[in-house]
Amino acid sequence: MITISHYLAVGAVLFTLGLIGFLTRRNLIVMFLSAEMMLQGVAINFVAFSRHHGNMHGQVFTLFIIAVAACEAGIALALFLSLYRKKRTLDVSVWQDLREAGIDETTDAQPLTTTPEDADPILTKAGIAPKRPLEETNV
Amino acid sequence: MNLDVILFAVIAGATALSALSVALTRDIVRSAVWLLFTLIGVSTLYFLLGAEFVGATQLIVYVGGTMVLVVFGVMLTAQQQFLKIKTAGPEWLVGGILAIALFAVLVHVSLGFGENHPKPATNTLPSAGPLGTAFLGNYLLPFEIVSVHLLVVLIGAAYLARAKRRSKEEGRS
Repeated sequence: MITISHYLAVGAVLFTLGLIGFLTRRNLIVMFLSAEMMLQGVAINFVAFSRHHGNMHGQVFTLFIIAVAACEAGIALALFLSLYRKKRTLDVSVWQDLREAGIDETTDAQPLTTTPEDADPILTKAGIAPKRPLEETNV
Repeated sequence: MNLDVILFAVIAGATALSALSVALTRDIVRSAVWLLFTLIGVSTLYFLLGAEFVGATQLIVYVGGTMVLVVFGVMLTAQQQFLKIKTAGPEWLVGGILAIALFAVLVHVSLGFGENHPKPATNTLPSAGPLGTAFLGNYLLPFEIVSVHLLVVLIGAAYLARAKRRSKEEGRS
């Protein structure tokens, strides 16, 4: 027999795994994905309680969660894009100047090794086209 | 063993497994694809719970919209050394201990909940019709606020992600 506890346990699993991902990663996009997973765990709880009580309040909450999460995804990715344009990296520790006032800067124990980007290919200079030998045609 | 139990076990197991893969995979693109499977599993759980409208909305908005957005974000910011990132040992230790403690508390509470609160007599969920009526009745104000919120976010995201003409000079300096 499946009771509400089983659904709550699935929600707890999702929330916990999202928390692990959020705490152990340093890439902004992976942290964002983990936060989405935590939201999913909470939403499962809402729908499970809605089923338990037989009313629609939990479902309404879940629909609002989905709408706000979609908004959040749009804003977050636009923000990541503009941050990436500024510093060419998605490492969270690069934006330490956004930290709380009065807290020292943390030093990175294992800084990421950056590989130099490939140089642009050198194209031949534009100018007058060299003369080509005339081709014989049958026309 | 009836069908409900088997279906729940299979879907919950698949959802938890893909969620585990999201947390453990090092490749960003694979992580995003695993999250896609997690979201599909969650929407199937909604269908199992009898909340068809929420499940369908989850499929449309999350699986169809948000994940495509995430994949676009990954592609626009793709960089070789960031596609695969190692996590150091101490980070795993701190994150793992915190998460396991939280998980123990959550499971303890949720298992205790089932014993303390017996199942009420009526536990069928209202379908999409009453839900729509509720959105235009009791929940009209939050509904309108969310719609204005969506509009503001649309404008804000377009403003943030627009191509700036001077961004190259500022970024290089």
